[in-house]
Amino acid sequence: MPDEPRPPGEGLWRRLTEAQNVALAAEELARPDNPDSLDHPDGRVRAARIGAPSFGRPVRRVSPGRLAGAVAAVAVAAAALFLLIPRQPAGRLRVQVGSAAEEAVAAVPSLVADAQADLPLRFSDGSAVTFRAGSAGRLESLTASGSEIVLERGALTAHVVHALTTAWVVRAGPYRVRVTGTRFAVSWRAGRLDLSLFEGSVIVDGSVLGAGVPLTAGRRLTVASGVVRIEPFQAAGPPPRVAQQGRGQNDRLNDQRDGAPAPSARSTDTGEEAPRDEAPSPGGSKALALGDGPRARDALSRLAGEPGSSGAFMTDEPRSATSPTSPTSREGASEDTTGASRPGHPRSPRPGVRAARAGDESWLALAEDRHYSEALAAARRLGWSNLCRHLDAHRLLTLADVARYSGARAPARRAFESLARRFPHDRLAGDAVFSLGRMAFEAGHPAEAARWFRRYGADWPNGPLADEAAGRLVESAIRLQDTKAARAAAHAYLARAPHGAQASLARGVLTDSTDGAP
Amino acid sequence: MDRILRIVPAPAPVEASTDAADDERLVAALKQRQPQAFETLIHRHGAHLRRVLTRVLGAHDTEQADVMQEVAMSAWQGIGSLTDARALKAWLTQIAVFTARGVIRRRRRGRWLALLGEVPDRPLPWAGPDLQEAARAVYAIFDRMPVDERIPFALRMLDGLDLEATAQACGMSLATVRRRLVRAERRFQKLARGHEVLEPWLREGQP
Repeated sequence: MPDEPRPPGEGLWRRLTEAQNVALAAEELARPDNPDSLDHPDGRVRAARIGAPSFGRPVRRVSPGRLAGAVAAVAVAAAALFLLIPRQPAGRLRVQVGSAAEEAVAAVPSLVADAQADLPLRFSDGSAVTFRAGSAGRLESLTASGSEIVLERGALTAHVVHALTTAWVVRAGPYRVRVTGTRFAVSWRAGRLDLSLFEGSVIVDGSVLGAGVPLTAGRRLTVASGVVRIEPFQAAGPPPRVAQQGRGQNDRLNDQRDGAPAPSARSTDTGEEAPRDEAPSPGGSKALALGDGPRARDALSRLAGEPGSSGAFMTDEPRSATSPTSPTSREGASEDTTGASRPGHPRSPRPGVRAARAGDESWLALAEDRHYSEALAAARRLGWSNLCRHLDAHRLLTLADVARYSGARAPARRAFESLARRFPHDRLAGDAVFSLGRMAFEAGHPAEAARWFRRYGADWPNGPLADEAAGRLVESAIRLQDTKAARAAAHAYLARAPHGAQASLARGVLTDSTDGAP
Repeated sequence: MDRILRIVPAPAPVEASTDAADDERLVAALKQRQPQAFETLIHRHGAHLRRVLTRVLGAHDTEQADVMQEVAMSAWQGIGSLTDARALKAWLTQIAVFTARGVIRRRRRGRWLALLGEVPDRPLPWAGPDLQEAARAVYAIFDRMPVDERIPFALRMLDGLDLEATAQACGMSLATVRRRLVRAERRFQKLARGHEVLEPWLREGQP
């Protein structure tokens, strides 16, 4: 058509289109049950499928050596692509409801927690969901990568173990919480939604929330009578990391995965406190009355967009800061810590530990009261390096947690590194090493993450996080597009955890790299 | 967020035929809320929807799986409004476009937020560094364009849709989409002019 706009720089658009086609084709190929769905008209995509480099680069004079190098690079990249694409685990998740077996689930259309006791659901990937006493809901669906849970009334807490294909949905009234791997508590009572996010991130949509509101760790979302409120709950602090006697091994391991804090004294099983109804901290939240429809959503976005607000949307924290990379349950890593835990403290020093040579421990008192930002400021006034040099292992770990809970990643990393360096044989150092790996991974440094996870596996092969570290090592290698390392890590993972949360991923790596490697 | 959300169920091993009769049966099954039909829908049209989203949002977009899920859920929830089953693919395309538009607007509203601004790119290892840079630059410019210009422009330039198909996908009249494409081209050229990465491409077709 003569009146159609002519593409500016046709070469750019053509090559960009071709690169996208290759990406799409590779993604389709990576779907194991859809091997022949390359129906795109561009036949050059098919060439890319077998690693051929001829997907439409413009004519350009290149030396044979460079051409060969390019061919090899593209072939390797194409093979690596197979590793980049997440895939569905092979089998459906299994679930145990309370003490009942999996089979009971289908026969129970509605799950009703006893008025006096919680109803825990344990999933085969290590995830756990607990209907709080008096709550009701149902397990809508159970797939290979997650579950859809409907909360009809009451409250539930969830700890979803992250894997590349994790896909969970919790529905509460008209709202939907989409989850990849996180810990949160949600309640739905009398038309009021209350969601507290302890770890990770979720998207909540439905009704006045429109297409979705992202929520990051440390935030609480409430929706009631058209009023949306998002606020930090740091003032009250996340569920404290204290050990709880009498919990099962599975519970502890679940908590250790993805750094779930151990439960507080008032929590049960999965370890989270249910959302509380206390008033938000002054100045710490923003609320807006909303109706439905575009105006409401615009208003919601304005709420998100007002500079200078201290509302939950209004964070100047880096993203990573709002996603605590909580390392572990320390109680599993240290007998000392277990014996010294105190409610309201991320990791309490054992009794009798000498005061840090840094002297002033006001930061520690603030941390005990869960005023983490203030604790961080107080610790910084003492000199972070000074504290890192002189504190004992327990205090160092507490110091790192204080920084992490306050969203200060760099100081947290320094504290963890000091612990790992100064107390290399202490069991708490294992927590620090794993935490460093997680932080590096989530910051987009897979090579560094791999080093930490490798070290954890080498130094604490039977540690409580050894399986998790092995799985993270697989993910790191994938992120690095290192086929060889990914295969090795996958073999190692399957050898130690053939039914673990990352077993499907590991098998996929082995299968794909066998089929697709040049 | 570097985690990839995938809620769309794994495609079922069903016939992949895409003729109209199959689509009519599929739509009927979807309206009867048969779960298997949803899987068939994704199996049959998922690749097409992913391609539309890739054109509009970019292959580097880490949230594409989330958006794809939104599209699938919208289709599932809104299938009752589809009166002509033979138009299933076009209807799905519109949903994908509208969903992507919502995502772009949502991001635009919250772009200053650190929590949304630090989403890492998904690298394009199959492309050379020059092309990767160019892709990022193109989508960075797209981000500065009005969404109703950006989307038809992306579909036109990257998916090679003709005017009619572009108009249909965007839910615009032919005249409107033509006008917006002209504006979009001018705007893109203006924004790309003098751009360190894109200038050589636009001048010579390669860096």
